[in-house]
Amino acid sequence: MKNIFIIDDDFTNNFIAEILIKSVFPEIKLLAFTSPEQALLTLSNINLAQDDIILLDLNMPEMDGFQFIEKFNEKKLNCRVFILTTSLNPLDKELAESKTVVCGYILKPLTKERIASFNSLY
Amino acid sequence: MDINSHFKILIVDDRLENLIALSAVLKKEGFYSDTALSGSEALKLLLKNKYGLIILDVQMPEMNGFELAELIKGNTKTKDIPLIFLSENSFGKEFSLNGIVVGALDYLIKPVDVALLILKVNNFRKMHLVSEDLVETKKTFEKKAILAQISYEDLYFSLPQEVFIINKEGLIISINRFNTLFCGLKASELLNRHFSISPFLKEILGENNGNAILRYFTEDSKLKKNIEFKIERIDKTIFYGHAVITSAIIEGKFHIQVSIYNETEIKKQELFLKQINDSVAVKTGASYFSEFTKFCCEELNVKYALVGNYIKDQHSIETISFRSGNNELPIYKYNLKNTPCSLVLNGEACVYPKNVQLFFPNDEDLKTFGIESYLGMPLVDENKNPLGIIVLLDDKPMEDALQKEKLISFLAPRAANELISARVNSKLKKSEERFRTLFEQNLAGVYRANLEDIIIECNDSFAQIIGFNKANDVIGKHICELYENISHPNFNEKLREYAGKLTLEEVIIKKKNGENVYLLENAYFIYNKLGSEKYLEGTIINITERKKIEEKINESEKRYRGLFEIMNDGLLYSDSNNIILMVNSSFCEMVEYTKEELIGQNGYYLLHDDIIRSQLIRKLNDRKEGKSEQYELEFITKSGKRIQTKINASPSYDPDGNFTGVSSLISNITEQKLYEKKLLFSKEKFESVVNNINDGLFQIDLKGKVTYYNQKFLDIFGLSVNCMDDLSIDSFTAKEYHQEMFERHFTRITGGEVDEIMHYEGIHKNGNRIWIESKIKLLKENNIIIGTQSILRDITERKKQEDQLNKTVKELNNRNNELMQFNYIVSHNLRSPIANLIGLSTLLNVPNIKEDEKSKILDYIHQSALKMDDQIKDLNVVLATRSALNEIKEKVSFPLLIRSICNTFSEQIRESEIVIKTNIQDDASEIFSIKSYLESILYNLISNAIKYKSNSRTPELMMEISRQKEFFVIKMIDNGCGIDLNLYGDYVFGLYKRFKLDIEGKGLGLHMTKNQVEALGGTITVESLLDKGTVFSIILPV
Repeated sequence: MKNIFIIDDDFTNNFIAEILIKSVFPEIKLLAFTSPEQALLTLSNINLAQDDIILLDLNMPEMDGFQFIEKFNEKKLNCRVFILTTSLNPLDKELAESKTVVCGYILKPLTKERIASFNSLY
Repeated sequence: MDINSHFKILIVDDRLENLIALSAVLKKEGFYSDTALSGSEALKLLLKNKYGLIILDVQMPEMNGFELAELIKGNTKTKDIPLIFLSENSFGKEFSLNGIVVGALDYLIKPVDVALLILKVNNFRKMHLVSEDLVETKKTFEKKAILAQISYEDLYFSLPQEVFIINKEGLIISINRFNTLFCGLKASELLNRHFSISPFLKEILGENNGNAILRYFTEDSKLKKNIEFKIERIDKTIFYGHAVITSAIIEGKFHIQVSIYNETEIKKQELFLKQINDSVAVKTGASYFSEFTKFCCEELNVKYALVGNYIKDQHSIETISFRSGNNELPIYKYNLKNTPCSLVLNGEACVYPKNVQLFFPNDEDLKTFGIESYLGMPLVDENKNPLGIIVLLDDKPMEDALQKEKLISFLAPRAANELISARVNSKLKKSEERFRTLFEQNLAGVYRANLEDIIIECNDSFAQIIGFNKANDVIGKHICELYENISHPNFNEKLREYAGKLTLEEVIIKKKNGENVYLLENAYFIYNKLGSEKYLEGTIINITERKKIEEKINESEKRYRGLFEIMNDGLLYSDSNNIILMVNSSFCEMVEYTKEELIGQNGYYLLHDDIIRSQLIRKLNDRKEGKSEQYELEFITKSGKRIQTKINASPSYDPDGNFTGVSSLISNITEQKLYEKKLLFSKEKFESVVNNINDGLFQIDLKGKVTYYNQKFLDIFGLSVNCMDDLSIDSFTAKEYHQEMFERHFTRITGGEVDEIMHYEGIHKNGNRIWIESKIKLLKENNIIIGTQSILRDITERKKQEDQLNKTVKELNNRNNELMQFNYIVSHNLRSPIANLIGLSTLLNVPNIKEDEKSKILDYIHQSALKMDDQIKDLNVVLATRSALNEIKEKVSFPLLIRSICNTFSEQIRESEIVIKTNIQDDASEIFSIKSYLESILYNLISNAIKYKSNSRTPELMMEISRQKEFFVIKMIDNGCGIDLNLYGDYVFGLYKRFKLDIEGKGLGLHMTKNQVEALGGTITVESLLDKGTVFSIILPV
């Protein structure tokens, strides 16, 4: 695991995630996007490792989390995707878990414990 | 089959060499024989087998020939077997008498003259055949004999066949028609002329010289000729007929009777059946069907004929033979959907004599082949499961379609089984069956006469036949003393005529008491060693009784009586006093009496009650006046049952034109009547039911015209009986349903599936729309579809309730969706700042946190709290618009409202340089509505037009407000950047949906707008093109 990417239109969330992740994995490379389009462009131009992690919000304007996963699959990209959302909607959870690329569904707020488990999950 | 196999000879002789010699001789001549060395052995064989003749030696040890003969004659089983005695002694009177007493029929002197033996055996064989035939026909004969007692002269002129009596000179002396259909000439033109005047008669009788044919009949008077012929008449029509040529003895003279039966119609059918049968009898499989279709095309005169296999799982037909005239078309496969064949495969024949395409508009094949008429016959197995189909198609209307259907139905079983159809065969046989000559059994008389015509030997039977008691009474007497010859030539004449031939012929003599005797005579000559004739020997059988009957029959109606008998209809002939003179078996069966019980009785008293009798007496007067009539009549049978008949009565006349009686053709229509009665009853019942049911009912024909309706139907549509003429289904159906109704009826007619129940709007006479629920059913008459029947019900009230219910359900659904949305907002949007607050506060506990980060955290906490506050406020707004009940409606002026909104936007308008235009119709400037909502709606839409302007052109916004009947239509047309409706179509009005990240917004405006429009009872829709502009259309009720 070398890289963690955060995709969320909410700056606050990204800020929290960055600080928390750095406190757990100080060596990790961290990149946060508020635009999913921007994120896709970047991801398809770097060498993505299989155990790299994306933390993905679902509710975003322009392109929501599911649309992002579709595009992500279309580009034949592969890494571990964790959904990070506030949504309590069970339909969202069900749909997310049906995607093969999705490794977990995390309800905000993100915690240190959850971050620490990223390694063991792999 | 060898005809001698039934005629086996038993030879009895005590000397083996004789047996071997005799059986060898007989075998050479084709006779089968058994041999016995003694009387007892012979008796054993006689018990075991059946013999046609016994040849026995007189001189035998143990039991001599006479003793054996006595035993044979004493046994009922064997008494009728003729015997030929063999004797070594020269023939003597006593000896022969001895033989005759015990019933021997013939004798031979040893050493046996082989030629004579064969002659005699042959003789007996013929007699044997005659008597065998007799047994077979005796039963039939007895039946016929009863009828023969009646004189049929009266019927002569009303016979169905044309009868020509021709005398020995070939002159026509009698005809039973004034105008002959067959010759095409009047009787007066034919009578007393030579038959060759009619080319047809000439053709039938075969020879120009009538004498030749007459002699032919004279020589063998029992021979009759049946000729089936086909002639082309002057008018080019083909006449099929059946001629029966018989000899008739009238006043002791030979005549020829030619009876012509018009069988044109029957023949045509028969010929067709026969041809088909003959040509396909030995064929199987494809070639059978190929012949079959060929004949269908040729004989039934249709353009196409096909036989096809039904492929059940594909619901299609594959042709086995598909023929157009002489050409076999390639195998063709078609789906049954929408075709007339699909109806046929339900098991019933279908006939569309014309316009078949009209019935099956979706059948492309009918169009391709240009089919106009259609006949389909299913081929089914014994369990009625469909196997295939016979189809006749034509590009013109089909003539005689029902008759063709009948013909094909005859052929269908054969085709289905690919076996020779028993029905076809039996039908053919029936028509070919002819009367057989009847014989009467009698003890044979044997005689021997010399060249001076003096009887020198005979048996008692011979003497009795010619009118004496004993053989001795006639022996030694000249033939002239015994009887007068009528057709019997003197022996000398015979000798010259038949020298050396064995003959079997019918002769007539007149006994001394004046009685005529008919004889079947078998005569031959015995030669002396020099080869010149010595004497004549003969055997005679008395056939007088039979001849008498035959003569009677021949005289008048021998031919057609048979026809009467096989007729299904009853036939009754009564004289002018209603005494029944003749009936046929069919009639007897009908009334349950036997012929004997009927003939001679007064039919009116026997077969009818008082009321009908009185009617009949009046009818008899009509007959006497020469009227023919068809009417229905009730008969009472022997068991008291009443049967209904249709009767065809016509008067009969004798040749002088005097009324002689009435001949009646009677068909039993009891069942038919019963059925009609039932039908009438059920029709009445049906009518009372349909007029009393709560549902309307109407029937329409194929053109959509109403042909039947009940009272309730009238009630539903407010119609009255007198406005029902020429009423079509469209006249009481709302216009928008016309097409659907048409299709629905048509689909039904063409055998397609339609939904059982249909709802549509009808038009009441007062102009109101009413909701109708209808069920549709196919109407058939004689297998031909004549239209549809619909049962209907006024469900307007129910529909109203349903509508109300639907509205409520829709509202509830909306509410539910809103609640779901609210839930979603709570779960996501509201949770979002809270989650952030939790996350941020956790960060404060993270060790080694930098100072600048700390202040950032605090800043974010503040922002999140503010965001949460915002959202709670938004929710408040959303919830507040949910119910418009508390708001007060007032008059709102659109121009004023728009001006005030534009004022609040003055800064943005100036900045964006947007051009705002309005086009408000005069009658649409004021609306009675909730002002705050209207304001909010317009505010949001104007705000959006400014926010989402295009940067590449001068922004414009056009507001059009117009009024249409009960609605206001507000259109907001901008030339902004547009919305990709393919991408966002579903979400445009969704809560917290935003489409432009670069432009500030919460995704609340359009959602609120929609809520408010709906709260006012209106609708909002959007049309948009990316980078072209957007149009919001709002419809508000007045």
